[in-house]
Amino acid sequence: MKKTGVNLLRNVAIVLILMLMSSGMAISQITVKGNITDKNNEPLIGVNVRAQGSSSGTITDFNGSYSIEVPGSKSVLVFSYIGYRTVEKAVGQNTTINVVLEEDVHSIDEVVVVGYGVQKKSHLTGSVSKYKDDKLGDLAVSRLDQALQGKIAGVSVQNTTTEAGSAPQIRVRGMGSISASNEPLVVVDGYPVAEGLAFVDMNDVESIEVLKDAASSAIYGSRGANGVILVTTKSGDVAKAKYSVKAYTGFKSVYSLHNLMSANEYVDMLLDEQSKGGTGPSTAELAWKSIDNYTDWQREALRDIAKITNAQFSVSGGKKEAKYYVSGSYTGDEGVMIHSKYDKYNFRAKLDAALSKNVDFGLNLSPSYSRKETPATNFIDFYRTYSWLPVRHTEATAAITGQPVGSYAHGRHFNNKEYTDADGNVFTASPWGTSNNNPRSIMDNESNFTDDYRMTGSAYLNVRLAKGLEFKTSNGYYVQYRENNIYHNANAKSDGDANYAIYTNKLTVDLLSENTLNYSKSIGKHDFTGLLGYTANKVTTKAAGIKGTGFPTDYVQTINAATGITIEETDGTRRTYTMAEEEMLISGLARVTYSYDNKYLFSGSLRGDASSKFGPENQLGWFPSVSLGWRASEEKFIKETGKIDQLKFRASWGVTGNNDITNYAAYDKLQSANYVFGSGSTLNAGLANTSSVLGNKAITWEQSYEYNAGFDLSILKSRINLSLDAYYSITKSLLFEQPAMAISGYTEYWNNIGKVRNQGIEIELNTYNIKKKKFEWQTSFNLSFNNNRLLQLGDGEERLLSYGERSEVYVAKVGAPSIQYYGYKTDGIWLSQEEIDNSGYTFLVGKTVRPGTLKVVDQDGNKIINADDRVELGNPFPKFNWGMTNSFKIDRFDVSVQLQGVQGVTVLNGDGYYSETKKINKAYTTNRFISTAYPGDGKTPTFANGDGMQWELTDYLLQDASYAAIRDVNIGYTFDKKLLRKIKVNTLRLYASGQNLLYVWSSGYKGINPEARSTSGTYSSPLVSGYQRGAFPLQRTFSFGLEVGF
Amino acid sequence: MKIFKYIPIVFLLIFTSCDLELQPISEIGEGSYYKNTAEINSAVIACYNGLQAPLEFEWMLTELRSDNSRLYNTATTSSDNTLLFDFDQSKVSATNTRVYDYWQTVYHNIARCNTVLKHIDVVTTDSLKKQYEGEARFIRAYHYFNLVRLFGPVFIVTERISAEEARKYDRSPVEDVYTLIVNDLNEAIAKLPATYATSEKGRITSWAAKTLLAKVYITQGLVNETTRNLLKDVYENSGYRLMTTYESVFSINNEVNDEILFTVRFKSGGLGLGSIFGNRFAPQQSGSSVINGDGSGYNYPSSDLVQAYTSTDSRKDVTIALSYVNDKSQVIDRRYVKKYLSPVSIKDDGDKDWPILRFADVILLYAEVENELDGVAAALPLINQTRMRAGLTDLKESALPNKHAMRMAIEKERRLEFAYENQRWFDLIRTNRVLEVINSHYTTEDYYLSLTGVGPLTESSTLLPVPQKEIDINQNVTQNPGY
Repeated sequence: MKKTGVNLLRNVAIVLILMLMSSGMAISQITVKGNITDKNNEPLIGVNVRAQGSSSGTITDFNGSYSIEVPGSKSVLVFSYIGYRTVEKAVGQNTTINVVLEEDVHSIDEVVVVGYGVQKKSHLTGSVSKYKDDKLGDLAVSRLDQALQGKIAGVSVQNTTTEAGSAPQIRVRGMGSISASNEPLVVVDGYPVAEGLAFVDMNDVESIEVLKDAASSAIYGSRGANGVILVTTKSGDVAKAKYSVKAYTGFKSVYSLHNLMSANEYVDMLLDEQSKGGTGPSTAELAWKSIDNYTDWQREALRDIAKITNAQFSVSGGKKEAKYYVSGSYTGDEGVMIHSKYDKYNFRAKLDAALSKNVDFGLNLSPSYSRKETPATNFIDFYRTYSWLPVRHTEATAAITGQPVGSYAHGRHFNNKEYTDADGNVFTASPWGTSNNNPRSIMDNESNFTDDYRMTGSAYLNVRLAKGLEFKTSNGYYVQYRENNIYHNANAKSDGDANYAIYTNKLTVDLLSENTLNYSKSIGKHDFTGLLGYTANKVTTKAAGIKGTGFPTDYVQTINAATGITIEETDGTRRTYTMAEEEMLISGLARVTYSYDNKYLFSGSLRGDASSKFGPENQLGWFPSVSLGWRASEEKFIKETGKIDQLKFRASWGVTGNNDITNYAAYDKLQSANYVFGSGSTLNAGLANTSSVLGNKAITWEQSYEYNAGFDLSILKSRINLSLDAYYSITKSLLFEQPAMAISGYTEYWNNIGKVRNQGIEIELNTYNIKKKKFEWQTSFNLSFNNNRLLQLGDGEERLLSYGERSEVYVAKVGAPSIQYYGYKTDGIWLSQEEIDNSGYTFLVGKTVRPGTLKVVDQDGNKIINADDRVELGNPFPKFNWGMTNSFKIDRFDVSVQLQGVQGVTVLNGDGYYSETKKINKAYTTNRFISTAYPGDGKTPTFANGDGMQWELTDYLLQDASYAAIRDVNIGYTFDKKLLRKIKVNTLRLYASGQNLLYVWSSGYKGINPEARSTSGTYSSPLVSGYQRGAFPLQRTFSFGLEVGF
Repeated sequence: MKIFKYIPIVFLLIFTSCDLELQPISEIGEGSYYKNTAEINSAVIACYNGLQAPLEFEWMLTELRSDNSRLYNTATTSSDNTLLFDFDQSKVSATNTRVYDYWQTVYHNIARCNTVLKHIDVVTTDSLKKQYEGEARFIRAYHYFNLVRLFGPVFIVTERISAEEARKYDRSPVEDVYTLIVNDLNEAIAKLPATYATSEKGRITSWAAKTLLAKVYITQGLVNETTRNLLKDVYENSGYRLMTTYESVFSINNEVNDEILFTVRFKSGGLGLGSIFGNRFAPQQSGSSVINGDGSGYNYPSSDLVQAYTSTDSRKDVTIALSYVNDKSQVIDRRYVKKYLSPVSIKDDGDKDWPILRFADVILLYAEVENELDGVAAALPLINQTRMRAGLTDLKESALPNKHAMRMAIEKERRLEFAYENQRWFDLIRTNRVLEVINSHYTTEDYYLSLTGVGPLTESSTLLPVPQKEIDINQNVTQNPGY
């Protein structure tokens, strides 16, 4: 019973495939030859020539000649070439067909990669964005995903940290899920690969397509709900070997830093405040000034100049029977933080070969290796350290503390020491209560390296079984082996710290087999295509870890030198273990497209997925889609006007799913919970569900139903191209790790509840403003609005609260955006004791209220300030995202300028939580309350030492994080080919680029990086988002590179 | 190349053999477990294991709120510290996450006990079945006893419940909670063995259940013959005794000794069973002078308690230290709780057990009952036993004119005997003296005088709030008054 669904899928697939295979196979072949040229009679090299309805094709050679075998005289040959209008010619009795291709100002008949196939852009009915830019590799970033920021409408890329090699957060059309992942599916050359954007080299990228609406992504069924990003890498052409070398080197520096007071400035401010009735410096703070040292701690965390370098070499070419593309590259990326570094080595080899007339074969191999160093300390620890503390003891501080000159200085060294004030009075003080070592010393004494070895390998076999019928099987694997080594020197964090090493590894083996039958047929004005497929995917994860302690010396850091092994930490973290997990997905898929007269387009697809993530009864999910298109520009009445080059209306509906949750969530799993009896020498084994999560057998697919409507318009000889899409999507049965009342013994449980709506508009506009021989100007602009609403929470529930690291609250409330900040609304600050007394309030939260502390609004008017006064305070979703690129060609120069921004986004700035921030960060102290007589601006609270309402629980730390940036300016110069020929070089281009040359943000934002967000720990829950703390500074990069082809 | 034609069929055949029902590999699912005696034993062991987690927070909810300890470091506003301020100064709010942490770890272990009781019938050996049931019921009663004293009316959960079911629960009156506790303990007394083999030492005996039941009765104000007989039975027949010295009660070389009726055990060695308290209570910034891995300086002894010990009281040096010697051989004056200190090789991995019921407790509870039922003279020989062991002179009847004087003497004796064993707060609650003692402590302990906004402790703030997170999930849950 339970496997019925899976079996059904299999049986249907078997029957259909057998039926299709039994169709006739007799074919009579004709050979057609010809030359292809442009208007100037120059031969065009690499023009795609194929018979319509078959994928058998060839490419023109150096002389622009081709030769192709076609099934018969009724065949139609299709000649396509990027940048030129596609031409179709009926073969008839001709054996020679010469064609002159016309240049297309903006090629609208581009081929677009879609799920399990390609489609002409003009015939596309779903919402698919294509991004193609041969200068993608010019960007001085180390990851492909970072390079996509602001490039594609509806795809938001946010660099949540500027740490080298870190993955940005990518969202396609907003956030649909709440506990399952919101990451889009990444498919590299037809192969879904987790982290695919992490290791594909930018220079290897031919194009990137994003399937945005459900109708396009439903063919990826289960995993399509968050959008699908298809990466196509370059392939070889039929040509002589082409060599290409690209290299750049860049220099990064911080864009801006916090405006902090020195210890002396701070004490002077307190003294000034004292004279105005404020609290003066404490003895401890007076000691700050008498130490009289100035260390710029922010600078201690940073490299003055960080370097990024990249070099790529590729060779491609081929003959009719075999084409190849081979590339190798190296990227070295230093973060602006010291001990932040990322090195990556990539290799890719692609081979396509024709084994026989009807059989093609291909191989695609890509090994890569990367090493990432992560700093042991967050940047915040640096801007929380007072300037009086030197990194290493100076003569003066050594004299105070009795520590040796040149040794690391730590806050505690200064405790209970004698200090002399300006008047020569000697006093004893403890200037800083921290027991931690200074952050620079922590950073230098703990290392954290992650090594990733990745290999993707796939092979395909394409068999033409009959006219218009092809079978393709593509099989491959993705292997990732990750090793993490952490070593913590003795006394690294604080005195008495034991040294330890933690080693973990994780091997992921992802096997995939995809088998499809493609059928295409044209009868008169009717064009059909059909796709039937069967795929199976198995992911096995194996991990191991060990922790060694008590190293005799920090010089040997491998665990063979350890004297002790920690099996489990006292907090329950398992340290020494091996573990394994498995996951499977079996799917059947089908798609039909039909077009009538190239005007009326229809596409329908269905995918069935069975996933092992769910309990046996709930594994199967069905994902259908339907889409329609009307190429109005093909209608006579529009054609006759001659004003519109292309106008197409599209509408679609589709269902996609999401199963991206932890494995085995359906089960209550038992883990060890041991204990000792007797003398304590033996461990008694206990087992219990020690986690905080209850399993739920009933959980099943999360499903998104999405409607999309849009149009594509090209006018003025395709000089203005506009695409507009509007979508409306409802995600149902959200997979949700719902909070449970702790009285159940557990604090979360998996469930399918609730509904989320996302609706929005995306606009992509490309214009060729000027196109002259020596001057071209092209603009592409994208803008996307997304609006998110939680429609239902299940069980008639109205709201759900989640908590961040500082107990700040996030609410998911029905009828409002899925995440809203929730807390106390403030109305400035209490200006006097009278005001507090007169209010008549009883304070049950933030009890010690005094003038200068935040004034909480009594929402329910009962004169009691308690948890009932919390309200929604805004949401972390942006109003819109935009990006604009202007490209110019001025003779041999090319210039591109990319602007990008996010508008109307609110962030909870966790930096304001710290007393050090409240004390020395000018963003928080300027114009602050001093006394009733000197209330500052009447809005900025005083440093209250924990009194009154905590800032992080109120709207006081909610800040506008909108920004606009000149992301990238790139200026290149291409040398004259004639000159180059003398030195046997084909092409040579030099360029310089600058990133983040200008970055502006709202005055309400008090941090240094409006894009930064916390994304780990509590913040990995999608319901807890919009919080930042300790952000690394933004970086500005200047880089210089060259591209040589020969 | 006709062979290629058959490739699709080959692939289909391969796939028809796929099986999608994947079970966890590295963990076992609950559904396939709890099928035999050994498996139930492992579930019982998990209940013992679950006793450890609440202790991390229990001292904050008891000792820190009492006059025994305070916060040392007021300068830092680290999240830990601000939460602790609130306990120390009687300003706890419903969002205090430590309250939730305690609540949640206690209810988690109650669920483990309920798991044992749910599957107990698969145990075929009658004696083991009784023992396991008794152990689970005892641990559950122990948890509820703490909950009812800290939170008043709480949720009575006696079976494994789903998250949906949990939301239908309401808080039960205090009397009902006590009914459950008494019932569980009576069952435990009837079912638990009186002794175990040496290798099983540390498991709960019927004697422990009797002692806990007596304590429950006394807390309820039921000071009568039943209570006295329970204590008399344990006092005379259990075979437990006072160790000869106070120090030897807490020696890591002789844990679960003759004085220990019930203890939460800890074990060092990187096994995940180590005690954190050596590090938590050692002085902050003491490096490895007191314990490897530095201390946090928590549970800082109040001057009031330090002064309460007389100079000859041997318990003082076992319980607290007034200073330590740093790596430069300087003496640093800094008090700290020493009772749970044992050498560790890595931080938070200590060996010392945390005693819950000791024979000294039996003696002093017995003294309390005797005083109420038969007067000062009957209690005197009992209280003098612990005094004598501590090196103090006997109390004289002449110095104790009435039952009240004896109550005060017992209160003080219990404070000194059980300091930092999380008893003080409960003792003050039980005797209804908490408001008087704590509020006067706020005016006499120097530390509080320099602070603003301390206390006062009010009738309503003697009960802790139901954690706001629980109310956020089910808004029909009523909060304790004053929050």
